[in-house]
Amino acid sequence: MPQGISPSKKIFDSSDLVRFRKSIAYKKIHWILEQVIEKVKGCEVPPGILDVELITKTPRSTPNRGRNTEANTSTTLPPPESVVEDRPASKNANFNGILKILNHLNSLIDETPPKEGPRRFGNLACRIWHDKVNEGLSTIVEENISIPSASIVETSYYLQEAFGSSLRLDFGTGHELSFLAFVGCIDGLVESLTGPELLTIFAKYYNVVRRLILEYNLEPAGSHGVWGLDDHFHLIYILGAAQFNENKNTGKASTGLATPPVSSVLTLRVIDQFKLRNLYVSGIAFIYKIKSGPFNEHSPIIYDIHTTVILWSKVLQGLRKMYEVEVLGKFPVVQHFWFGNIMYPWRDIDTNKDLPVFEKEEEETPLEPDFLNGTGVMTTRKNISMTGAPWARR
Amino acid sequence: MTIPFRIPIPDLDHSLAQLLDHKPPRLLPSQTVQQLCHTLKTQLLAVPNIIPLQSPVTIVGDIHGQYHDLLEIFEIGGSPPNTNYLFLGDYVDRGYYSVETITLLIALKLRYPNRISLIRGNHESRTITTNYGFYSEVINKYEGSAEVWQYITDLFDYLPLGATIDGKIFATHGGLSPSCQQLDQIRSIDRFKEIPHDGIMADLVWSDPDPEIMDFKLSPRGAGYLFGYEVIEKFCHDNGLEQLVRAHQLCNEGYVSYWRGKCLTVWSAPNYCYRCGNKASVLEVMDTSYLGGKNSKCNEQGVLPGQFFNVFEASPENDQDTANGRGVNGVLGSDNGEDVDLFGDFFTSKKKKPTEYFL
Repeated sequence: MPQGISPSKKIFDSSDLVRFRKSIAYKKIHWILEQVIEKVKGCEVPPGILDVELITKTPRSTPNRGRNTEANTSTTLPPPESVVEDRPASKNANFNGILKILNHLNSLIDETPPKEGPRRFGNLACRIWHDKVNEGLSTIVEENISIPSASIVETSYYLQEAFGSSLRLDFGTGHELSFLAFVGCIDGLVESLTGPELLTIFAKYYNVVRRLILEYNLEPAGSHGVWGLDDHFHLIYILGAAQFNENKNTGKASTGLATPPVSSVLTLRVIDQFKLRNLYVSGIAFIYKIKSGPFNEHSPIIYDIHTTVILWSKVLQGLRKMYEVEVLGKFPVVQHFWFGNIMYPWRDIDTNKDLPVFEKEEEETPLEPDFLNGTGVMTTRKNISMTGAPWARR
Repeated sequence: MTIPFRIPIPDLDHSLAQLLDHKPPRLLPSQTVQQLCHTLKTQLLAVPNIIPLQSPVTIVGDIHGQYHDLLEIFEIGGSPPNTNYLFLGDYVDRGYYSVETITLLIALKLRYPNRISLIRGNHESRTITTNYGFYSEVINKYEGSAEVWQYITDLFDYLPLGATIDGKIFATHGGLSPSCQQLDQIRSIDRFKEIPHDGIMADLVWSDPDPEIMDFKLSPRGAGYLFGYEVIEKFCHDNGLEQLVRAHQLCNEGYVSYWRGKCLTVWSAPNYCYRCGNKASVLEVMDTSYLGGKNSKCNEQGVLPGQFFNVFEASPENDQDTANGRGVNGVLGSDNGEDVDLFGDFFTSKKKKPTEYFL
């Protein structure tokens, strides 16, 4: 068995996307995605898993959240989440292990309060959180998940990358993809879990990410402004739409409440009913929480889905096509997806030979966020991000 | 097709009414946009790279498609032609109403050529608008056609790069350039082109001030520079200027003053991207006759005498909470029904074209 090596960058410009599509890694991502989708069809997120505070709009705080740090801290976040013990433990040790890791990451947020002072977009405390996480991550992975020791390096890598960029203080669909990759690193995991268990893992993951976004004010990693599906997520909508699709094995739709019509999902009633049961609706609820203004303006693509599409199967299909193009097919996103030699190898799917790598001076993404420092000071620091020049090299 | 060099005033007023008298604003037809852009281009050919303006004038920073906030600016600052306006660029990208915002400004410029001045920001560029939303918006709003994006980005090539106010204030979108010591160097640029990656023209729209440095430094943006105190002191001194006014950077309070008012940032997009919760402002320059005098001290806003940052928050419509209130377009429907459909019948009059992925 080959020894695992730390993943490295292989996609250096958009022409590498052709090779990416031929790689084993690419096929494996699709395989995992397909498996997860099939598993969660017709299932609900078990009660008590999604953190209700993170997807419930607090009474509109004053738009100026910067000055008054006192009031600020009190409005933001829920108390630390209770430990995993009070959840019915699964027989699956890896399932329990993953939840334990996610709980650990969550508690590290408690230990790392955002830095005070004028609010900047992308709180620097997030970097401390990343440091704390990265410090012992492979040990924690090793302790809690039983995988061959050779794959620990890679497994930890994809988990580590799933929580946003420490450098750019942002979070986007590429990081979400990395969590899917992490799940796919654990051999047999998806097969051995039930739909609700899988949903539990993803829901717990989204709890952590949402807390990071809110607590540290992370920026959207993509930046088509309102013309993207969502500022941060895509996979969550695929999984949620799958939940609203019929499960071929059980033969029934949702196990609990009747599936809401696609056109009703943007109504308050449906949001309240489903935001803790369905990942798609929880995603909508999160948008409501972080944004103000007419929904059709700040989220026109999602708005379009709910005014034009009728069947959940079409929603799922459309979101998957869109994922293919807008996430897996976009250089700015997948350039940050790196490749190891066991889990997601940069090898030709047909010949199993290494694919060529055309390393070059790094071409920086044109999709830099641009919420440049709230105060207009400190522009010398690498800590801030802003509209970057598409031709920038660094 | 022959396109006239002047658009009759009633036609302009009609275009303005399409935008201003309807909620949501009506999109101008592609041919109208073409004609507006063409006419404005022919007029801008005669405008120098640095527009010489006189006070009083109200300076507006980044708008980024936040149309309703632009209307709010006209509420609080006075509506054209009653107030003179200088816009510092970044009209498009990010927001939902980039098309409406830029077409309104174009129509106003044509209608009141001496009352409105538009200069170029880093987002007034083909590359940037393909990456940051304006292109997608046009495709979405004009049934898959990019024509309107083409007309408007072609017009962007004609926008001037800066302005002076009473010869004492220099206004530009971003900031200073290490390649430029004299305003005349800017005046002699051939500006009628896409913004280059480097050089004076790029730096003017990309640079940022940095209170922690004295000299120039590479910008973390990957274009333009950071410039410090000595740079701006020398530039002002050599060019007989008192101050630099610029936009380009989001600020929580809507404005920032550097070096006791030597450089001001004005930001005019409140609650940026529907989520930043920031304030916005416009800078009202009433008078510059005090500038340069002994009493030329800055006040608590950090501005010089005769200047005032008129700060505002998201327009009530834009700030309205979707979940509880009625949106700007009446989108939220009735609030009395049990099963409130938040999104009512918006667009039902129009034929809906589903996003292609979902066909």
